[in-house]
Amino acid sequence: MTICTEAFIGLAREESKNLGMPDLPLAIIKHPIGGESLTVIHQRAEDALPQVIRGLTSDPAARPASVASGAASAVSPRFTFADEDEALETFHARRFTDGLPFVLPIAERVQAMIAGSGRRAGEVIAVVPPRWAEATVENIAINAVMAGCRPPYMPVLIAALQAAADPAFGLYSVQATTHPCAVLMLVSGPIVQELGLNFRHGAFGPGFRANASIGRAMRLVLMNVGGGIPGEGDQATHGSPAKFSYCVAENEAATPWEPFRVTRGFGRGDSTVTVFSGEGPHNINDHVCTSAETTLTVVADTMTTIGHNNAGSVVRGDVLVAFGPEHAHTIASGDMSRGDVQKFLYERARNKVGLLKLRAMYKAENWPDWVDQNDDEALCPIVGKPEDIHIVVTGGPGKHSAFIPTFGTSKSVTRKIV
Amino acid sequence: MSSITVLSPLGINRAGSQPLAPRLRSLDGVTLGILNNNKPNSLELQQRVVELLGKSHPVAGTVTKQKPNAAIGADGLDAYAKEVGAVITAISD
Repeated sequence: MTICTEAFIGLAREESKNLGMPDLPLAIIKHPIGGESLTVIHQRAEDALPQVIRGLTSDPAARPASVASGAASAVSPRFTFADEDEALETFHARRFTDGLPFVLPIAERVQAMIAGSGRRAGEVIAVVPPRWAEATVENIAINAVMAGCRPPYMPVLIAALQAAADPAFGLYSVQATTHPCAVLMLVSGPIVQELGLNFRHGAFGPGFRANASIGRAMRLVLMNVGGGIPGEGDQATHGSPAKFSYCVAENEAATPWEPFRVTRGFGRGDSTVTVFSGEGPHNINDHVCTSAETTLTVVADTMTTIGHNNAGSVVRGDVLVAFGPEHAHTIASGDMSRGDVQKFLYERARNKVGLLKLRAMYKAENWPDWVDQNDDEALCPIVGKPEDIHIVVTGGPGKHSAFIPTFGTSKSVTRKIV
Repeated sequence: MSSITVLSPLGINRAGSQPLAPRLRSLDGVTLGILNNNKPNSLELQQRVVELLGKSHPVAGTVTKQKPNAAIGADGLDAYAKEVGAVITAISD
């Protein structure tokens, strides 16, 4: 049986139902657990005790029926409405949307979207947590229509979902966590130009259909297929604007190093999409530095804060640094390879153990063995190795770059777009 | 105005129904499992529950299994299930 705080009842009920055990006993206690004194924790334990005993020894059939909601498996695949207004309002009311206006998924539009994938409608691309529902090509196409995609965008979306479903990415936790991570899609290769993906001014921002609608379609799939509904399967404390849409493209022409996809083992002629469990981008402003070392020092300082998940707590993940073309040019002019940049940032983006103790050495067991946990002046990196600091060039003119921390326990995954 | 038919954007969960483990007639003599997700204070909570439970029921002992972190699934659960008569997990922050 499971002990659960009041704030997590929705997720616990959803998850037990989605795994086929809607009557799994829950012992419900006050929220929270973290950050409370031992006295409070012991009181929570006393509150849980009679429920635990009952849950372990009572026949589930004798308990009240489950209050499970949003039964995905019982939903009809078609809805008929009196008119478009009723359809639109019903979709909003049933939480089938991200809250923004959307395109109604009528059969003709969905068929065109499926055709854009070059695949069968019923092909299962992924099983998406926490609802653990199948994302078929048709499901994905329906959500792509709603998001405003064009049919040629489908292969990007499918490859991204395949990447997100890789166990290394940890999609269940990325979806359900209180952390504000979103699924950041980074597209690299000829398809960037073919689809008109923006990689210049405002690379992370609005104004470009391909970026906006592909990113939005991913979010709608995560919500509608995966059940990542805020307050239900998505327990994010604040969420993030990045959860509306988060699709960026590499500015390959401005990249002084090999293209991003090549660093992930793919060919120059390939197109790829890489998913990161990214927070929203944190700006790195440096208008004055003229050398690689000084610019990278500013970058490393921006990466070195103790509140994000990678810092000190979960050094097993990876992070992304998105250099603006001007910063990239300054750095490469110093004859620094991509590997040199990663090594520099790995060695500089570190927090003092004494500072990390403010977080009560949370997850210190994940730190590298060579970090002396008894030395307050010892430095702890934010990732396990230099290669876990991924580097891409994107954006337009200007003296800005961006740092994207991640969920921490998640690893980025790349898939070829076919 | 004519009616309109649209497709459902939801996916299908095919998990089916999974039977719960049979409930215990008594906790006396049972080895209890603590499956811990490594969240702050979670182990303290679970251990206290088992400690309190042991005051009213002569349990045989406790076997604790800790996940490296909350974000990944536990491995070796089949073997763990053979070691214990019941498992207490927890979900929260």
